[in-house]
Amino acid sequence: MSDKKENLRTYIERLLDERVRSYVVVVAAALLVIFVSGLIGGSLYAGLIPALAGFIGLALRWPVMPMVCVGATAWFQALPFGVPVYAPPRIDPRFTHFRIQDLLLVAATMVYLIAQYRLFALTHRAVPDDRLVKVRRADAGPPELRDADDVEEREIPQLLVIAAAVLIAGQFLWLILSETVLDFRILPPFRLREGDFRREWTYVSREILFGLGLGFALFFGRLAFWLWKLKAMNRDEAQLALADTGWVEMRREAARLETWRIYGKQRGLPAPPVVRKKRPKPSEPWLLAAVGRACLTLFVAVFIALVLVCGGSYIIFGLIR
Amino acid sequence: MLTSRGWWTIAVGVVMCLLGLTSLGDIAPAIPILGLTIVAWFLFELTLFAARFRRTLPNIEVSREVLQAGRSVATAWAKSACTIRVTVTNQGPWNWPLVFLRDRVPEGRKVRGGDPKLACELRPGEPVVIEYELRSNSAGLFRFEGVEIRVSDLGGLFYRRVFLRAPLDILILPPLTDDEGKQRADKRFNSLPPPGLHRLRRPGGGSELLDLRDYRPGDPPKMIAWKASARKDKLITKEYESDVPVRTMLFLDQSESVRIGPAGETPIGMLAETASGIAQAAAATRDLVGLTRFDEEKSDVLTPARTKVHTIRLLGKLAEAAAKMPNPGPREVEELQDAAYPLAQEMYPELFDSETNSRPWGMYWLPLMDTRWGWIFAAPVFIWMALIYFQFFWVVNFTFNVVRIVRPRTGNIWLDVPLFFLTVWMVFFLPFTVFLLVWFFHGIRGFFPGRARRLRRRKQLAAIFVALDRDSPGRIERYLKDDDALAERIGRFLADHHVRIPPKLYDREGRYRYRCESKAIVLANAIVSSVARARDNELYVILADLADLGDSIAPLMKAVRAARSRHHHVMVIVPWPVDVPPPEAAKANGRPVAEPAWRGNQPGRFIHLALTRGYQQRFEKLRNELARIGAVCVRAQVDDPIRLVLDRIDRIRGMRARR
Repeated sequence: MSDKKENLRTYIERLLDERVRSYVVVVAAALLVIFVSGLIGGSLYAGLIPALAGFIGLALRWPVMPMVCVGATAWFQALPFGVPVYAPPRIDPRFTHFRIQDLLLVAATMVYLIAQYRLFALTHRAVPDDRLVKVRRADAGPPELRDADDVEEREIPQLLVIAAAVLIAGQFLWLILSETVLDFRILPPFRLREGDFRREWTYVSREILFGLGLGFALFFGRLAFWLWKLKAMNRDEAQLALADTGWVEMRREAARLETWRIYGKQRGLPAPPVVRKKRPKPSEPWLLAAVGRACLTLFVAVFIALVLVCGGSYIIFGLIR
Repeated sequence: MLTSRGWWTIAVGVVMCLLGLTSLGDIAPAIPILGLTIVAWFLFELTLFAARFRRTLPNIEVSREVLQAGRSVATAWAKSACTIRVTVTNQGPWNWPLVFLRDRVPEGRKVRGGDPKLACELRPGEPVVIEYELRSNSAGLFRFEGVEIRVSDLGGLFYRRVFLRAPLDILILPPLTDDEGKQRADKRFNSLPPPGLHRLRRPGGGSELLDLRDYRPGDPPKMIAWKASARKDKLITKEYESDVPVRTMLFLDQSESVRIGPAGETPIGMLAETASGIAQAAAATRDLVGLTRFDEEKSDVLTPARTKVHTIRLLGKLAEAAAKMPNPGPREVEELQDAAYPLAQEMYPELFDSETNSRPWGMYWLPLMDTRWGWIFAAPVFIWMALIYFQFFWVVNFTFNVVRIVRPRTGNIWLDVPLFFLTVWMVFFLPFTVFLLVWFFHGIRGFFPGRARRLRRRKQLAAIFVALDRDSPGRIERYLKDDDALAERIGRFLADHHVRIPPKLYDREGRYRYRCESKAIVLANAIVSSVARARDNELYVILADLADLGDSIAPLMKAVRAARSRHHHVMVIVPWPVDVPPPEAAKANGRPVAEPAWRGNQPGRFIHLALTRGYQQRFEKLRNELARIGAVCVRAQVDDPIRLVLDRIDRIRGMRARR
């Protein structure tokens, strides 16, 4: 219990640190904007629940809460009262680009997300547990945190700039996806959306375009970094890549060879020595054993003497006769 | 590369995009916009992190300094703290915003002060310094492997771990025991005695005046101090110092038996410390000290000398001996793998990348035909096929006859017909079915978790060893199949990185594995060659674990007898195990002390008592045998061997003076 209190006190002290405090203010402000934005949408729940999730995450350091907050924001955008009590009207996508309420909500959510993650790095855990390495590292200790002294003044403005940039990028992506329709009858297979948006199955083309776009981005990004990695390989990595490729090509043949080699090796080995238990020798002669040995010796000697005496007598008396 | 936080973020972003891009987006356009924004932000952060990582990694430089008494040193002294200073510099153009550095502390050593870990930002051109303190209680080695760097972005979405290898070995010399060792200054110490004090307190035929004494009949007239005689009105004779030094030869055991134990607390460390004390004390009185190191196979000699450079060289040799690692011996490959895998993972993280160190699925499959008994199931298939080819109608006839007998009968036509055909199939293809079932169940066992995990780890280690050795790819398969080859390579890997694994002291037959009988012969040869090279009466100090040799000590006894016959003195210093009480401790007034009764339910205590008693008896026997031929046997930790050796040197010097 005292550990928990200690942790809590440390956490609060860290939150109130001069450099960390700016992030706390940003998170709180972003949550407030999310709350107001929900209220503008006409529902108290739409503002309250995401903001509450965010504040709980801030207070209790639950890493899952930012995602809950984002999910709740999206949920209450689709269902302002949380349950499908009525079907909201469909909006023409032409009127959904760069809307003030969307800009406000998305900007606040992004600022909250970025700031909250950075706050986690300062107060909860900066890098994940390295499970396999931890086996060897007995002194793993508490989770590693980012040093508050490393927080620079320019970080908050940078954060806001990044949020604004990705916000604009998101709006443009939505603009492209909502106004472009795939049409495989023409080349290139794209055209602008025409006519009534209800008549065209634009969302199918939006999904395909999104999938293709994300796939291309990931593919070319991966390719570029893979080539970069190949270029920057160290000697051991390059040697390993060559050896591994060679092994994959010759694996079956080599396995067969090695199996038979081991078989031959085992046949050639000498049989393991048979360990026979030796009878323990008494450290001191046992009296009875000594008496017994003496009696036995006497008996054998007497027997031999008798045989010799009897035999000799028989021969001698025979000769005499 | 992605942390769980990163995975959750991208998963939520993509799900929101996929849901929002459906007709839901027409109702609530904020959802796809938010999803697309999260995905765009994530991709931006990912690209930035990956680019920073790739661009900066080759430009990170690590340098290390070991400081003792404020000076950078190449070798450190035992029993005094040394500061390790590691400087990490980013020479690249980009920064790493969040970095966790950890210097890998030498295996088995504890940090006495400071912290080998540091969380910081690595800015271009700005070095970051880690400082901490280490202290070794005995001679040995500090093995520094390098610095672990964990890089993350500020939000903790991405993460990479690298290990910058910069291996460095620092010898820990035995502590200086003279005045120079106690000083704490850069100024060189004046080790000459003050006027009136003499190092060599024995009179002899030297040139330095030692003392004045009354004349005794028989003293040469040239030794009379005429001025002092006139002043005292009686004859006074001058005495000069004896400048004939005593040569001491140290024989240090560095066999496997003395290397066992935790780092810094091995018997060889204690022996080296004793040897160092003797060498320094003897050198302080200008006696010559030499060193012979021996193990089970060979010996090397450092000829006796008395200069300071020689003493330092001798200490270096002692430290090298103390740093030697025990051979873990034949071990189960699983045990070695369990020790080596985390070490490799810690030090070679980039070589575990699945792109370069692949684990194909086929690797886990266990081929039936690679076994010797697989043909038992394959042969019937071939025989059956031959029968089908040559005697098809007989086979068909046989099949239907068997089916007629064994087919199940239910009375229901809808069941009987399919069961009939199933039975025909089973009988006609029985050898094939059996073979397929055995092949499948034999092969699939390779994918079971325990076996698959072991094989995966083994493959990864094998590939890393091949890469480090610049070996051929076929070697990987050899390590996968050959336990002996892999065990040998893992043992070498652990020894290279100075990782100690608990040795197995007894073999399967219950014999002590570290007796090292052959070292008696090597030591005997070394003593005989020293006797052959000797110029005067010398002192041979044998620092060795001889108690366990038993009857194998005969060659050594012979050599000691030869040395004694040439009037050399021999002393044997045996390391005494910490947990074994000395024999005299078990006796009170010459009588054995009654030990607490052993009960049948304490096998561990019984074994401990038996081993203790056995060791004490063996030591007593060794001491008696040595005493019989005129050699002295003392214990390293219990007796005061350095004082005994110095007394013996003085005795030798006195004997010479008297002669």
